[in-house]
Amino acid sequence: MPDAPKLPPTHDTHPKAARVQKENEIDHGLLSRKLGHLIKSIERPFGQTVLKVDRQHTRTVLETLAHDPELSFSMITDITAVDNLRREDFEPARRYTVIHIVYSLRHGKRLRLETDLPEHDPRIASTAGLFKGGPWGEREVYDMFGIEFTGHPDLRRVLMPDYYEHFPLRKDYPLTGLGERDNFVRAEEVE
Amino acid sequence: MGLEQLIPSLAGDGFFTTQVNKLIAWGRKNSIWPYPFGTACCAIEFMATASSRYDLARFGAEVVRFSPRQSDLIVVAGRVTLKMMPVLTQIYSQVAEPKWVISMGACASTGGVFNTYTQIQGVDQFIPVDVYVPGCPPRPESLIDGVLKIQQIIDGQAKRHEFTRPSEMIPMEAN
Ligand code: SF4
Repeated sequence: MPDAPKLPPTHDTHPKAARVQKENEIDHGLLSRKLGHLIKSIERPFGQTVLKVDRQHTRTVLETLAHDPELSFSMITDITAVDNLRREDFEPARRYTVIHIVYSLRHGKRLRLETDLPEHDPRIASTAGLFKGGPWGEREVYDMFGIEFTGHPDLRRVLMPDYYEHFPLRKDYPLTGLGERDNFVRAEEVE
Repeated sequence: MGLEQLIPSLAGDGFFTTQVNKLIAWGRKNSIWPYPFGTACCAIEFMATASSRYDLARFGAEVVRFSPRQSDLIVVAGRVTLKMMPVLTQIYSQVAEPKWVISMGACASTGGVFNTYTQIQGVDQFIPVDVYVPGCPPRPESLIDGVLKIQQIIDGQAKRHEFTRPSEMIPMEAN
């Protein structure tokens, strides 16, 4: 009988996984001591630390994470978002999830912050003035999901053209668009 | 140039007759100046074609110009998006007549695998294309073949393409 096919190592079984997870381990006691009253929960999927936050506290939590010397998550790696529309447990109060990924240069640790936003009012505080790179990621999230960042100095589209009317990464927007790509003026051939 | 050996009547005080059109076409087809509208991976293949191993200079097309006003062949090499299509149309209209267009690769010709909201499904919908070079990316040999086809068009051996897509296929009204 032939041997069963050998599967490639996964995030759990890869020889490096345990080491990487250990390196990225964050003291959850420290986090709950500093932020306990502001966050909803701390989770650890695949050894990564994820904080769930209500949107009125996101900015405060990020400020504490960035400025507290024991944490000093002073670098924003990315700001992105997820549209939960097609999820089985979807509810309009949690239509979008905004994700901040911050990195602590001093301690070499990474941390993820997740904030749910409701469908009818997708708004969240901007990180302008806190992270220099923050507003760029926010512009992209605004461009793709239509999430508004209050306090952003210059919230314009960044990838799509300015005349574009939709937010293409929303799950109720069709992948092939609504005909925008077929509407251009033809350059006529001169003979 | 050794023309004397090829055309015996040129030796000594010899002469030969031709038509002005043909003489101009002969000059044009052997000095094509391409403008690479390179927006993605196909442009890398264009660079390979232009540099020494494949050496597009053998066909007189080595002077790559990055100004549309100085070139006469646009090579659309790569994906063209919503934001780039008006740019391409403008560049096309800035090239002085006579001008020719090669649509290089699957993306420029049909949108390729990128059937998405922002990807133009073939630039031939909006600018006239003379030669399509298939491939993802096309090998340099294919692109050279495309340039040779353009040379045939220039000296009248092959016919220019019209818009290959009939206009009724293209929905022009808003949404
Ligand atoms: S046809 Fe292939 S190689 Fe050329 S731009 Fe498209 S994906 Fe890239």
